[in-house]
Amino acid sequence: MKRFLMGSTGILMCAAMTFAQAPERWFHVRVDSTSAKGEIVRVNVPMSVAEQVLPAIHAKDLEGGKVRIHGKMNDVDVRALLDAVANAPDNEFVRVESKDENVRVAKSGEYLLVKVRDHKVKDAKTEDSGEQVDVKVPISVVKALLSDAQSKDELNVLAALQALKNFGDLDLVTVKDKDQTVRIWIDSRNTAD
Amino acid sequence: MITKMPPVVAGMLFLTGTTVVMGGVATYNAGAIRVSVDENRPGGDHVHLFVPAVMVPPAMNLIPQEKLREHSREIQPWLPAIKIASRELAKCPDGILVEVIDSNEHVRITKRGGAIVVDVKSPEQNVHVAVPLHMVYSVAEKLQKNGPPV
Repeated sequence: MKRFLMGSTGILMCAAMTFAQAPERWFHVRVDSTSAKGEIVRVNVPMSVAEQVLPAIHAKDLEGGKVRIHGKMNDVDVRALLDAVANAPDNEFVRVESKDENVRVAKSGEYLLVKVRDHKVKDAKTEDSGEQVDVKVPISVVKALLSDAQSKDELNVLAALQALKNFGDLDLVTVKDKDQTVRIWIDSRNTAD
Repeated sequence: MITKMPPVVAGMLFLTGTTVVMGGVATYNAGAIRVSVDENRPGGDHVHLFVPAVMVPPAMNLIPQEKLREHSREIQPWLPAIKIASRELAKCPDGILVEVIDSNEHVRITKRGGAIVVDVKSPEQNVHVAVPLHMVYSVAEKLQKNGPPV
């Protein structure tokens, strides 16, 4: 009887694990303005919805999950550059320190880190520092973003989104300046608080 | 004193009752479009609409096809995305999708139950709109079918 009970419990647990659905992942954007109007914008998108909807959008610069950026990327082989970074050991690849801003690009584990500290716009009254940008993106996501593109000025947003699903809670972008704070992240919560 | 009801009347009453109950169940299951607009000024208008979702697709048949095609031309490229979004959102847990707060207005778009709910609160008026997601899907599908050939 004891064996039967243990066996049944084991089977039930396996069945529960098989049929239990993974929690929905949410993509969040939050913009908090510190201006007099004090605007707050919160966008929460279930990643499964974004993944299904993106290929169905056929707009001017967004076609089949790929977005066209209008930058001058023709002189730089970003894919080759990224491959080199991905295969290199953890390191700081770029460090620019100037009177106006400090820029740092580094690889830490499976993440690409970008830090920008702008000193140009400094609030004289509050002594607040200027714009601060922090980006933490898995290298596999950046690779996916540059994958399967028809031209150099195309980003595969759909592939990047699919690659992001393999990661846990993650702060992707934080931008802080004297007027507003922008935060972009993914987690399993359906609120952006 | 209890009088016996003729069997024909009893049968008709039973049929009517069953039809009403079944109709109520169908309407409840299909949900309803709710629109409320409340003006905050003294003597302001208060509009409250409750339209059972089951009535919308048949009502669309009453609109002349030419007019429907003409007015849905701009939305045509977005219809596949709207259909997929409504289908996928229905499967998702409830939550706030978009929220914008400023000194004057509070706008919130929520997925609640099987519906998309839009709430706008401002000093002038409060607006509440709830639309069942399956109705969004069926309207988008109908507009797509009536659209120009791709």
